[in-house]
Amino acid sequence: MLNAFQYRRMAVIVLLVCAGFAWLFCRLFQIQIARHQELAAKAQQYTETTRVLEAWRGQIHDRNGKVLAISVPVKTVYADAALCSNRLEQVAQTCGPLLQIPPGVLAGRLRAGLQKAGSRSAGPPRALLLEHDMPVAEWNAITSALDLETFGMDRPNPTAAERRALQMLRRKALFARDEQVRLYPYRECLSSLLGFVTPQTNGAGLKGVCGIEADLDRTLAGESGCCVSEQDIGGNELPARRQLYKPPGDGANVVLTIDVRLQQLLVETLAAARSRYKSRSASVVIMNPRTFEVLAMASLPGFDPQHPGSAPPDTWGNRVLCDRVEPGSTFKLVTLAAALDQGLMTLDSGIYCEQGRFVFNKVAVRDHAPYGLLTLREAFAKSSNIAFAKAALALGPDRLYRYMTNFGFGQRTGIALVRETPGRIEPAQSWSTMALTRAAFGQGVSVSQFQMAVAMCVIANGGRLMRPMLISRIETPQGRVLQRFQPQFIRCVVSPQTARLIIEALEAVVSPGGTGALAAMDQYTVVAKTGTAQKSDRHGYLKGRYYSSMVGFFPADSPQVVISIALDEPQNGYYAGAVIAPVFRSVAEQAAACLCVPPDKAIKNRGGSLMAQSRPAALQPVGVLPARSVGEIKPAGSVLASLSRR
Amino acid sequence: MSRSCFLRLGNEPFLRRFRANPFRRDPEHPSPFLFVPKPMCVRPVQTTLQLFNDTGQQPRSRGAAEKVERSALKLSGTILLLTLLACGFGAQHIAYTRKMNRLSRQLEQREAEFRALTQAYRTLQSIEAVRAAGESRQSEARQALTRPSPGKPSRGG
Repeated sequence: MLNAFQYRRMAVIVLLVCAGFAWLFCRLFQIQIARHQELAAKAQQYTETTRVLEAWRGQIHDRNGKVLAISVPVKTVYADAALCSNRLEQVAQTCGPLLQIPPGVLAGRLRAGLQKAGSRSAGPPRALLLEHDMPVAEWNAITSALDLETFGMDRPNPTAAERRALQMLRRKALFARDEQVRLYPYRECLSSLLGFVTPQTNGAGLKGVCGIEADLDRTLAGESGCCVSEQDIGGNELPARRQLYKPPGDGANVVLTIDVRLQQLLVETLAAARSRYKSRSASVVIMNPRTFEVLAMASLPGFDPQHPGSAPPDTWGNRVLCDRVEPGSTFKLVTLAAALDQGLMTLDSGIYCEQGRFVFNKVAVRDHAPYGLLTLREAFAKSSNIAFAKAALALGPDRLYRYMTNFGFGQRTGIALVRETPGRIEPAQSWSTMALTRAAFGQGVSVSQFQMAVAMCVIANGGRLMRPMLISRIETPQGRVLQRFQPQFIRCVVSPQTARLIIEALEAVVSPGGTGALAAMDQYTVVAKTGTAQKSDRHGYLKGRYYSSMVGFFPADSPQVVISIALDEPQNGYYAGAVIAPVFRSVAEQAAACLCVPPDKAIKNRGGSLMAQSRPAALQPVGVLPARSVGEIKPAGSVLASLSRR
Repeated sequence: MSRSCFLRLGNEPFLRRFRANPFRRDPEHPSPFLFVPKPMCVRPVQTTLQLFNDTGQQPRSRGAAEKVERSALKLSGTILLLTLLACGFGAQHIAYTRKMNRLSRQLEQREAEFRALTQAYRTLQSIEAVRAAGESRQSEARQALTRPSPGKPSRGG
């Protein structure tokens, strides 16, 4: 039986226990329910770690499987400043030789890093950057060497604390982060085409800055992964406690249509030509006219894609695709195609070239030499501006403009590079008569060198325009084909008969007497057109600054290689026939050898017909007659009627 | 106190007490098959003195005290049970954590090995690419230049 005191005492105890439990439950309620989100977030902050798993960037290959761009694993080395702060000198003495940094310098860097961080925050910094892009093998050697280092703690009987500190220093004084750098085995050779990459600030790998690296960045970069996991008190991830693990999707490999052997030869030749003529820049593109595949594409000066910062940014671009230029006489190809395809003229139609000066609408058109009556073939071979101005007048702006756009000028060619310039061609409605006559020989229009090469491919391909190809296929890193690109027909620009006639005219350019005679090859029939364009700026044409170019193909009868070469502002001579034609020949010889193109001249010589470039027996002047003054020139329709047809 | 007080009938619950098994039939009962055992009084034994005292001062809230005792006992038991349960869970959690940490270390080691192998493979790939490029620069390009041109051209009709 309990007495009153005992009863009270027991009641108090029970009350206290109940109150204690009640407080405990209240506290639990507060922690677990009321402040759940806040405290869970705080706990997550301390225990959870989120890492971006960097996707491995895909490779770029040439058509023969040679690696043009590849990523290499490297380490970025840091020092744990919090760990080193007490033993800075010893760490510097030990790690300096391993990192190939003088111990004094390393100690200074560690001290500076600590001071800098100390001024910003209370605690020492966790990581002090010591070295970038260290090869993995070198890092492995360093970690192995660190396991044997004593950090100045080589007493015979170290205490447990010293042993622990030594262990920590060995394992954690230096640590590294996995990264990748891009390696371009062919260096400057493909720099303008491939571009370069830069590391992203968020640690999600590399990002393309220009060239194919930028244009196909999403394909090459892949998809970064993510890992959300718990970490221990030392900040080490606990892999078995991962809450989310999304593995990275490595980037795809891109196989180009480029032949790197040919590219190397081209770059060497181009560099020699640029050096010889001291030109501001030089560029070349080689294509297969059957498939419109780009076999080689280079522009100089290039840059080292491993260290793009060492070259000025204007060298980073691909001049073949990105530079807009007035093409000059190579553009006569389009006027010729239009005139022949429309049936306005034949190659033997005569045009009076006004002895080198043709005044039209009070504006003079000049030839580089005084010519009288020339056939269209001769006018093309000698590159007479006056003849083509008259041909353009006969065609009229609408038809010439239609042919320009059908050839692909004024629009992107469709090659898989987004930075390609479309060029600039004003609509025909806005053309004055002067603009029409200038456009006929490549003035007042701006095109890219690549567009000119594509136009020549159209002629070599029997008048059919196809989509240019730079990418052959896209593969997984394991080699499974994800996407294969096939030649794609776009439209028929001129008839095959017209294309054949144009090839005949182009042959005349490279024959003796033509502007491109120096481009003739011994074993192949080369057809080409030269162009020497005076450069212009906002204020007009610039004296003494020229853009010399040549575009052509070989063999004439079964075209296999289209070549377009350009020198920007050559110094030792500027006429394309004198400056570019020998380079063209050299490039063509290299391309023929590299691509095993069978020669055709032996057969032609046996046949004996095609090589002969004979003047027609009866040359009847047609078109605009010399006796007529400028004012007497009839409109295009009536001029058309007066033109004789074969 | 006489034994009869245990056998008296009243308002209290009774239990007929037998020597041994309470459900054994009483052979002396006139109808042993209809026999229903009577309950015995379960009230605690009280001395006369106690009965005398109780008449003047009744035990105060005897039932309440018992309730308190019982509650305290139950609470202690519950706490003990919960503690044991928590200890069990704790021990299990510690074992689980240790196991997970061991697995973590193993997984980390495997991952590090895999990473090292992958890195070595990729490094070799890049070395091979550079070597191929170097060879191509030095020899292949030259060979292409000096390669004899194919003799007979192939032409379609």
